[in-house]
Amino acid sequence: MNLRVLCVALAGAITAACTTTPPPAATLTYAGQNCAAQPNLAAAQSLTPERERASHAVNTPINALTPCLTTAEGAASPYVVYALPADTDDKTFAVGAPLEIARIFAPRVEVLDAQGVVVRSFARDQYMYRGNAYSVVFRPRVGERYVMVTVDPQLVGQRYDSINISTSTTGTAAGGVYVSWTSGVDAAQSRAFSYEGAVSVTISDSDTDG
Amino acid sequence: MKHLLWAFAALAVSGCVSPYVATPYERTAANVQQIALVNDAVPPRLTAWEVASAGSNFGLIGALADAGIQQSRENQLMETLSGAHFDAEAVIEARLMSSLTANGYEVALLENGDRERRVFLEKYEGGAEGVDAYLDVVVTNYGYIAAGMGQPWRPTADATVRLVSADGETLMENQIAYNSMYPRAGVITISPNPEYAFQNRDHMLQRPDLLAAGIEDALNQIADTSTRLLQ
Repeated sequence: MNLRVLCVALAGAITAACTTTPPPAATLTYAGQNCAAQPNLAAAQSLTPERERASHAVNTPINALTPCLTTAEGAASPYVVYALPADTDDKTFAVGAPLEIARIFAPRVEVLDAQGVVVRSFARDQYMYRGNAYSVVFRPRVGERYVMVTVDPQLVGQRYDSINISTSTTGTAAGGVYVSWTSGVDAAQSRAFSYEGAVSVTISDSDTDG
Repeated sequence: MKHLLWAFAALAVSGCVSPYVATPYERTAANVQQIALVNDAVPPRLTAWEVASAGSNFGLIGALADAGIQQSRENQLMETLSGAHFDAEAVIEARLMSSLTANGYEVALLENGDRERRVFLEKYEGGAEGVDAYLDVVVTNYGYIAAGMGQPWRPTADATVRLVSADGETLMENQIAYNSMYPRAGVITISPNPEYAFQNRDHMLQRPDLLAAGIEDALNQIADTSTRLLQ
């Protein structure tokens, strides 16, 4: 009896280990509710690290719980606001969305002044794929206090098809000898821009010991 | 030796290396109208690297054999491209000139001779009177790459780009990787154009025009991206 239970448990564990959860798919529609007319600056997330460091990253998931904003075009969009550090000298900001397996949050990045007025936006061709993120890079100007990220509805549903090359190493032990073999991987990937996903911000400080 | 350098590059990327930090351009503040485009953007030799080759799995002996195979492959590709009258330097210079002009800049090529190394110039001088800035595009590597044995050969190119004002201030600096094996976080990454893929060396040598077109496409995308960074 105990052996049978053990076998069933082991089978269950193996099945669970082998079962893969499909990656989140792109969300192509959005029905925001209780959308604010203005961004809530009081709820802005801080981009100031606890201690000064050369690189500081903030990632924010964007999902059904993310607050909604009615944009200037009258569209409903999830949004997130970040408060820039008080000292932005020597700091460079990369703001956008990480490349997930099947989706990319469709970011529209805008910079706001202290009153929440948009003072800078970025043309679509200023966004670029940088490593594992789709982002814009900028240095704050005088008077800029917040960064707001909403959805660009024109981008939602568009696809980013890419080819990535890498290597993969496998190893086997035979006759007391470990043998490894490295082979090449050439993989096509297709991701869709989405209303949900994540926003990533990386702050690089060129004037620090950290 | 080249393989060792690549391996070190891979280790550096996979280790705890901080992201590359670009210098974004502020067009209004920079007020650049006339640009001198620095000459000698492309290295004299291309590369044709099969990353996870069979030889790379057999230690030092395999690596030595691999180095010989790679050199032979690169020589054949260069001969084939030469036969197709392909000039990588002319391609990227022409594209940079046209795309910068289309973007509202006055551009003149600066004849500054060959670089000693594939790095930015230390000093920028010799531009025509009234030049506001120097654009230095350094292609550090270009050619073809296959991830491993049996994998397709696709174009590859890596570049560093910098715009320096006539008085020496860096106005923009970035790195661009087209189909690169180990792109560092923060570096602009361009996925390869799927139109240019070859099954093996013979396939590449049999299609000189397509071989050249693949590299031309990669270099054009490097040039166009450089110009996008100056908008």
